[in-house]
Amino acid sequence: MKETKKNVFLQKFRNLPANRYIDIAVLIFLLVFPFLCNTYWVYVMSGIMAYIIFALSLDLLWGYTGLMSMGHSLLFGAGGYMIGISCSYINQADWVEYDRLPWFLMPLSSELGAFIMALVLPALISLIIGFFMFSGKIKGVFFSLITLALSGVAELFVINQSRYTHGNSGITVTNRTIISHAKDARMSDLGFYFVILLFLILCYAVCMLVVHSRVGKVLQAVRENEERLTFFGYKPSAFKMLIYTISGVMAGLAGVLYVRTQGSVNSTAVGINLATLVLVWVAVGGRGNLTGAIVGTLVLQIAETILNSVFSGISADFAQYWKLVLGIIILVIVFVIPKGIIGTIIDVQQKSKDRKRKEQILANEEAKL
Amino acid sequence: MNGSLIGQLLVSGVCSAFVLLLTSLGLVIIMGYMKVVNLAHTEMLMAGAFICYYLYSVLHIPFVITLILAYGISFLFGMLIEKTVICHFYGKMAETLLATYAISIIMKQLALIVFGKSYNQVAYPVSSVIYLGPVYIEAYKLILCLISALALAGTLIFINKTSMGRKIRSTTQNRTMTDCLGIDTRKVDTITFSHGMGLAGLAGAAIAPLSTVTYSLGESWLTNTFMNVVMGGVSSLFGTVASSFIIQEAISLISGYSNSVTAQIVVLLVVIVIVRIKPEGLFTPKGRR
Repeated sequence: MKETKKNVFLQKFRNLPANRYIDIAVLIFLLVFPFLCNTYWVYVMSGIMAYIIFALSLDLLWGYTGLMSMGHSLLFGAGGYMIGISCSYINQADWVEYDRLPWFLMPLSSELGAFIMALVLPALISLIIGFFMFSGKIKGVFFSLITLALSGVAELFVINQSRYTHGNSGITVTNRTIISHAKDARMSDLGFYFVILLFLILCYAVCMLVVHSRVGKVLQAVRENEERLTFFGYKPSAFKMLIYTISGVMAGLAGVLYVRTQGSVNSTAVGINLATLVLVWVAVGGRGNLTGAIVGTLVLQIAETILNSVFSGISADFAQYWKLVLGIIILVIVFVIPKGIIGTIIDVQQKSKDRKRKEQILANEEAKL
Repeated sequence: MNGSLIGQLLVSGVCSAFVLLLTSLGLVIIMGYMKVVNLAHTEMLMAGAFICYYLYSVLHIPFVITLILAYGISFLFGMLIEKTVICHFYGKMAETLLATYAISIIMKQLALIVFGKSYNQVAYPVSSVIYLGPVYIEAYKLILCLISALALAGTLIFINKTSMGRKIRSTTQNRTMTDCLGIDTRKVDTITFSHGMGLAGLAGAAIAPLSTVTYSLGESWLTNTFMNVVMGGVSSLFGTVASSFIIQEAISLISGYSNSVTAQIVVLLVVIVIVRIKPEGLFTPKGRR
């Protein structure tokens, strides 16, 4: 009896799609990683994990629902800036100019309020944008263009409102905790690493839950054929708004974690630059299977960090060459493997499975004859 | 706020509207006739501005010839891009977006590596200022309006009156049927795309004296040009003309009262609301398509 139960479990494990193995491998890697590397890499990896949450939120939107947001950093930065503004408000010196926040930012004067606000504001932004865009008949491209424009304007806005956002130079967040703003509250790098990892696992679980629920199936139907879904009596716009809001909250959370771990937030966090990066991560990894977003972010960010440390001795302008390489990588990916790395692996596995099944059926037929 | 200031804002709004029309014309044509969103458009503006800087300011070629050369070079560049990249992705929206995005990143970074972070200035070809009572206009802006109107008129004539234009329109309406009539639709696509890119290069060269020529010039035009396309729609050039005027007049008036960033935000939000009401753009031909 025990034997068969074990067999069933093994059978189930063997039938998992290839990307689940990769998920488990990545999880083990992330668990072991901080014990193999120095503090610098633990710090770098914490930032990368915050970015992975961000990439997952875009994958929900782009990979599963087919809404290509080209300005997703707007929501990321909204979350990050809430923490930044709140931190600089609470820890301000007595002589600083503003002692009052505008009424809609009042929750930021408390620590917990800032955290909640950092999740609510992105949700509100995405809900409002979603309401105007999805309840009309705006097609995919226009959604991309409008989000792109929004992200561009948001960057200008943040630079312009320097009274609260400190303009181009950004806000320094000295304390590294999730909620507390107290100056001496500072977790160790290792401790904070595992806090972010916990959030990452949580977000991944939420994504899996959403994707494998009925809602997730409807979302994929939106991507594949929206008109037919309408004929089945569903209302695509409601589902799109729902997923955009979920994605917004996740992006906001990623922004909070990133700002906390890196210790600063500046105008690049809302800009087109970061929006480009996250698109590239998801496109390289492969969209529509969560693993792609994780692997794409990991590979590209680790590659950038390593290359940066190698080349910074040779050329001070490494960043511009890296962006050039990124552009070429996108072109190559779009030409050679439009489904991304993980998407291609899944395809190959599916094909070999199909072939095996076909051979088995043919063998059975022959045995009958 | 007095009358002369409002007059000044309105007049400069009209000039900016013509500039916006010129800068987004190529984008609208490529999007309207080929269903391709060309994200490399704004980087082509940047390239056009650099062409203008090197031909006009460094080599001292007359301005009119510079403009024509800018169109020609951009046309050839567009042809190259279309033949090597774009032609593989017709009908695939996400792939086209990514591919043109990649091209735009590559163009921008190449410009940064080749030209550096220097800020170059192009002198006004015509430096006089015209006074109309209390309102003044720079003469070059009037010339820009003229260039913009000429580009629009030229494109309309090209699309509506020439045989090539007829081929372009028929390819948009029914590609298979056009193929059956023995017209090489691949070639038509190439010409349409190159014409759009050429217009972008021309626009970039024309706006070079207004702004500093640097590698990030394209970025500053990104929001306005794409907003214009979203609002005006792609099915008629008339919509683009109207939305250029609405957007730039609004921006110009609002920035008179506060600042230009607030103006852009307000206009962008208004565009989102308008798009909710008229998703296909301002002026959509009824009953056709």
